[in-house]
Amino acid sequence: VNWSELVSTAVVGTARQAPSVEDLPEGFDPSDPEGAVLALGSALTIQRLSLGTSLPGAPSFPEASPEDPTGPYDRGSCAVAEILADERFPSREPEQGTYASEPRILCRLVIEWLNKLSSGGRRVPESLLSPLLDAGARVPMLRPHLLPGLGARGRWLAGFKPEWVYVASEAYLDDGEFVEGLRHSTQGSVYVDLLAALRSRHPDRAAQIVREDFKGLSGSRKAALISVLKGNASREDEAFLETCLESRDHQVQMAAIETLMRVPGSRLATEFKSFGASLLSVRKGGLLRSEKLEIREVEETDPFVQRFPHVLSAPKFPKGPWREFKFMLFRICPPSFWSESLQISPARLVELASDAKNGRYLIEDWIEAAGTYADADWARELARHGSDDIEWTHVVRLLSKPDLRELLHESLRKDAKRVANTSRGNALALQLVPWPEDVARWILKASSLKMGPNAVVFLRAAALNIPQSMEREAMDHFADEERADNWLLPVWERVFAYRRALEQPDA
Amino acid sequence: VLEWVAKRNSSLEARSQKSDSPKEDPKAKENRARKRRARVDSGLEECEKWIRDGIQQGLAGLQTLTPKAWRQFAARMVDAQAPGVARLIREMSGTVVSGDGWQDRLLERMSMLYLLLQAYSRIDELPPGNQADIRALIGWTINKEDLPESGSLQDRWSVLGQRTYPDERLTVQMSWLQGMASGRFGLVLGYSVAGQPFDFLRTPGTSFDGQLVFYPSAYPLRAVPREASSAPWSGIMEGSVASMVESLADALTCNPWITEVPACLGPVRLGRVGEQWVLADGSGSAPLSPAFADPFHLLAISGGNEFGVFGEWDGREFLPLGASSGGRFHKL
Repeated sequence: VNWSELVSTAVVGTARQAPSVEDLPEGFDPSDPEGAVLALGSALTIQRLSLGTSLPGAPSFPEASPEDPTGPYDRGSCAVAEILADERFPSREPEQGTYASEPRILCRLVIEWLNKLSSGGRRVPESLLSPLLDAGARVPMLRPHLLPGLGARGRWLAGFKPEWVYVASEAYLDDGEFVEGLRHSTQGSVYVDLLAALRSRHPDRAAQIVREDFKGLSGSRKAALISVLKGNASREDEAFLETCLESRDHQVQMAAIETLMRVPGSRLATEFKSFGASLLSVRKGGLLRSEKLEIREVEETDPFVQRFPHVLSAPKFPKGPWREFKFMLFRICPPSFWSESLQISPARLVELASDAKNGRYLIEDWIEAAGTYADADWARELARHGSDDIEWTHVVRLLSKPDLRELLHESLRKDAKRVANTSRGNALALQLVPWPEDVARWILKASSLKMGPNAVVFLRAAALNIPQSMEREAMDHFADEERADNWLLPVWERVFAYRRALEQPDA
Repeated sequence: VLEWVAKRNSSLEARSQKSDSPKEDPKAKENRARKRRARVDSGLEECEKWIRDGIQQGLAGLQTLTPKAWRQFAARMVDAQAPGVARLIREMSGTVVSGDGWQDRLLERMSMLYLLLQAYSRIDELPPGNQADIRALIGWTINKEDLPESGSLQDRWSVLGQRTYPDERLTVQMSWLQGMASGRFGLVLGYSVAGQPFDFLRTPGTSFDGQLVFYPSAYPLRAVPREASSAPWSGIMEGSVASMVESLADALTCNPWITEVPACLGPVRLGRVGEQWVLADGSGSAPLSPAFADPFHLLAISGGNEFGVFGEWDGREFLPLGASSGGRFHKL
C-alpha cells in the first residue's frame, strides 16, 4: 500500500472502501480495517519524515561583488528594524491629508537615520537590507534617502525581486532581457519606477516602451507613463506628446502639457510663454508714479483658454475675485520665465506681486512652480513675502537646505504664535527643518492644544523637531494641558524613545 | 484598621504554617494519581473511538465538523485530564482547513495520535524514556525541581535560535541551545501570560557556561538551564543536509512523535527552484519553510556565498532561526 492509496481509503472511509487483505502488509489485521489504516498511516508517516524531501539540484544565486569599502552603520539598526516592524509604520505612501500622522513621523525617523548613515559615508547593514528595500517599495518617500547607503550588496540584492526595481542599478538597466522580463511581470508603480530609472539611463528605450505600452491603458496609467518622459525630456518626445494633447482625458492632457513644458523650445512651451507674457505687465501709476504689476483678466471665451479647457479655464466654484487668475499656467511655467520675459529680478517681481490686487494667488502658484522646478532663488524671495495662510510647502522644502535654513528660522522667530496654528501644508513643511533650541522654545510657548485640530497635528509631528536636549522640558510644558495625555504625550513618548534608540550602538 | 491588620497577620501565619508542614501524604498522592489515570484511560478510550469513527466514515466527514464541535471534543480531553491530547485535537482542527493536501496532513495527525493511544495502552511494557515521552505528550508534567540530576550536562551553551508562538492564552518561547563541547542540543521552553517577560532572558548569538538539566525522554531535548554565567559567543557548528535528515530519522526511531529536530547546516548555499527556496550543499538540499517570512533576508546576509545556518527540520522543510556569515551571527 502506498501513501496515496491509503489517503484515498481514509478520505472515503473504510465503511465504503476497506483495504483488502492483499493490500495489507504482514502484521496488519484485516478484520480491523480502521486500526489497520491508522497503524499503516503512522508507519508510513514516520518512514516519509525519516527520508526527508529531496529536491532536484537547485540553482544557487550568483555571488555578490565585493562590498564597498564603506563599513555598515552600526548605530540604531535594531531600532530601525523595530520601527519597520511597528504596526504604525505605513504600508504605503502616507496620503497628503495625513501628512503629520504617526506613520509619517515613523517614516521621517527612518529617513533621518538613513541620512545620518549616508552623510557619514556608511552603508545599510545586511540585516536591514531586505526590510528597508521592502519599505522603500511601499513608501516611495524613503527611496531617495535609502539609495545612497545601499552599498554593493544592497544593489546586488535589489536585482532579485521585481518590487525592488526602483533601485535599478545601472548594470540591470543595461541588461535588455532583465528589463523586458520586468516590463511584463511588474505593474503599477513598480513598472513606472522601472521606466523612470530606464529613462535616466537609456532615454530612447524608455520612450519606446512608453509609446508601445500606451494604448489600452486607463487615463491615470497613461498619465503616469507620460510623466516618465519628464526626465531627460527632449524634442524627440514632442511628436508623441503632441498627440497626447488631443486626449479628452484631463489627466492625460495635464501630464502631456507638464512634460512638454520641460522640452526645451517645444512648440507648446513657446505658445504658453507668449500667452503668459501677455497676462502680466508692469506699469507706473498713482501720485508717486510707482511701479505696479497688472494682471490681465482673461475671459473663458478666449480661444487659447478654449483650446486647453482643463488647464486654463477658471474653476466654476468657488466664485470670487481670484477666479480670473487661477490658471494652471502660472504653476506650469518655470518661475524664471516671468523674470526673464519682464526683465525684472525675482525679488522685485515678488514684491510687486505681493502689492498687486489678487497678487497673493499669483504668489501661491509661483510657490508651487518654484518647488516643481527647484528654483532656490525664487524660493528665497517667495518665502520672504509669502503670508502664512498660503501654502508655501514647496518653498520651505527648498529652504530646508542647510545654506538657506537660517532664513526660515528667522521667519519662525518672528512669528512663532502663528506657526503652531498655521495651515496644514505649512506645518508639514516647517517640520522638515530642524529647530534650534530657541526656535523650539518660542514655538512651544506659543502653542496650545486648545488652538484646534491643526495645532494638535502640528505638535504631534513636532516630536522630531524638538531637540533631544529639550524632550523633558517639552513634555512638562504640556503636562497640565487638558487632553495632552490622550492626544499628544503618548505619541511624543514613543517617538522620543525610538529617537534615542536610533542613537544607541547595537549590542 | 487594626482589626484588619490582625486578621491579615493571622491569615499569613496560617498560610506559612501550611507551607512549612511536611509534604503531602504519599497515600493521598497515590490515590490522586490513580484517579487521574482512570480519568485519562476513559478519555483516551473515547478518543480512540472517535478516531476510528472518523476513519470509518471518511475524512471528508470530519471536514464538515464545525469549529465548535472540534473545540467541544478537545474540551472533553481537558476534562479527562489529558491536555496534551486536547492540544493535538485542536491542531487537527486547523488541519482540515489548511488548503491543498489537508487530507494527507489530517491522516498523518490522526495516525500519530492513534499510535500514541496504542503506546499508552501498553505503557508499562515500554522503556522509561518512552514512558516519559508518552506521559508528556498526554499531558503529565514534571516540576523543574523534580528533574533527576542524572540528566544534567555541564557545557558552554550557545543560544542558536529562538521563536515564539501562541498557545491558547499563553505565548510559548522556544530557545534552542547547543553545547560546544558535547555537541548536544537543548530546548528551553518559556511561557508568558499577557505580555509578562519570559524566564529565559538570553538571546540568540550569546553563550553561557552552565548546566542543562534534561527532562527524561528517549530522545532528550527539553531542558532547564542551571548555574549559568555568560561566556564569549562560540558560533554555529557545521553540518550537512544529509546528516540533518539522518538526525531526524534517528530521533523518530527513539521518539516517533517528535515534530522537529534542531540542525546546524553549513557551509550551504541559498538557491531557488521556481518559487521554492532551498538550502543546498554537496549532500542534498532542504526546502525552506513557508513560515520563514523573508528568504531575501537570508540572501542579503549570505550575498550568494556559502554560509552557516541554524534552524528546525521537520522532515519536509527547514525553518531558519539564526545565520552566520562573514564571522557575524544574525538572528532570524
